[in-house]
Amino acid sequence: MELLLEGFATILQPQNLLLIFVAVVLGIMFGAIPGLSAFTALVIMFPITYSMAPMIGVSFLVNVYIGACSGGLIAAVLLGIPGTPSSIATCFDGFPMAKRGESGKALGVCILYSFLGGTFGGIALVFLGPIIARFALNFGPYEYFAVILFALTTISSLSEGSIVKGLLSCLLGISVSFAGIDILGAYTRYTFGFSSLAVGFSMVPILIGCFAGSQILESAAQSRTKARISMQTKPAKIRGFGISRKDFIRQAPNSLISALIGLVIGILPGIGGNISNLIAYSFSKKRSKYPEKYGTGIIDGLIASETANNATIAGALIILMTLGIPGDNATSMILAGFQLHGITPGPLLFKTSANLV
Amino acid sequence: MSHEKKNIISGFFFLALSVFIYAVSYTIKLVKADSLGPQFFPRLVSFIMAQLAVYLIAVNALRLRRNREKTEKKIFKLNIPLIVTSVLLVAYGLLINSLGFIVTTMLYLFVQIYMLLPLECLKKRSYMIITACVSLLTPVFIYYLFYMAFNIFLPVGILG
Repeated sequence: MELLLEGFATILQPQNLLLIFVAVVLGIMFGAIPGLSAFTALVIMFPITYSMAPMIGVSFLVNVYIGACSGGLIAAVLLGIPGTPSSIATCFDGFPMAKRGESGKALGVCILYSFLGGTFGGIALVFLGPIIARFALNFGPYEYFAVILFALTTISSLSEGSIVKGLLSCLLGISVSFAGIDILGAYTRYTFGFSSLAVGFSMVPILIGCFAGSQILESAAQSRTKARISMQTKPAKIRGFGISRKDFIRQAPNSLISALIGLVIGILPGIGGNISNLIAYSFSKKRSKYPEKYGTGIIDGLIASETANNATIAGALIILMTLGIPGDNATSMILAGFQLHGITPGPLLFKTSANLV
Repeated sequence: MSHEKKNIISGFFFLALSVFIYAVSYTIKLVKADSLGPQFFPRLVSFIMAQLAVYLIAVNALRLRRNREKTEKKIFKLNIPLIVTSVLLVAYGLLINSLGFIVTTMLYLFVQIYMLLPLECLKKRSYMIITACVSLLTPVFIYYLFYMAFNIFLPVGILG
């Protein structure tokens, strides 16, 4: 506890708080622009931390990461295009709300629950990090396969009306991943002689193509028809974060379960926020009394997605800090940040640099 | 086009894709015989995909036959903005490296906004001036934002 307070004392110094604020704002800027990921933000910000003290440098990078993951919600709500893969499910209800003129409410709810999800994850990281990491270590290939299969089937169930079409879409997505080098055997497949396909398709262009491309085509198809949706809706007035106290209490179980899903998925290397928001959204829809309203613009979906993807960040940091395993390319940049400042992540980090944790 | 017909077309698309995935899996060069090698998973996916596609086609063909008497015949009309937008998106991807980001985006934005504007707006000069200004200034702003703030170099093309 003493070391924890010592860590807070360092962080709460005005110049450090300012640096953290700048890091979060820069991260949000990167996350809000579709096409720029948390990884891009970290690569660009990495050299800035050279001259910083270890604790400040690492917290700067972590805050850029958090900001970039959270910033994705802005594009998801306002444009219907997820700024980052971790805010895919935010589009489902955020964009319909924005179309109704409730963008302020949608953004307010997303920001509040991003904060709550992140705080939940942070507390779990500090107090339960090593225990959770030990549990995650028991996951072998079978468990990984089960989690991925579970994720794929739950995502398929999100498709309205026909589960067959959902499964086919899922298989289409899997087929896209075949291009490139087979991870297990290092065989090159489905590249058709193009060397640029050897590393496979990048996630961000696919995401933009799917969401932005489909939206442009939809707008074009409706542009000269009477069914065209008017975006010139009068914005609704909001108070606070746009959620009443009654709704906040009512949403507590939804947010808590989503945070737990996010945390657990975040710990598993290689899965992360891309999946956690979809699983949390799907789970929230399944246990809801009004699942038919999901996708029409209700806060339940936003809460599930945003709480989960922010809790995932803490999950990814748990496995990074306790075992030194980066879950994705963004956390591998944070790992590089640790090494740059002479900090070795691992089980001993909680003893040697508890104030940093 | 009716819902069932759309589903049948989707079904045929997936069926063709599954055949394609299965056929291409034979081109993967193996160093040693491995039953669970790089060919296994694509073949498994193509097999499941084909089954689901056949199911989708069959169910919707039956529904279509049942509903044929009830449905009225709709006149097929080409959706020009949709076709132009599809062509624009493909052309944008093909031309961005040779023409550069600024020129390609300017051209794309102008034509795309023109296609998305309601017909009554096209007759007003003010809308066209705004469209031209947005098309000219936005790519320049984005280019310099990426260049100055993020150190990311977008294709320069003919302007380089």
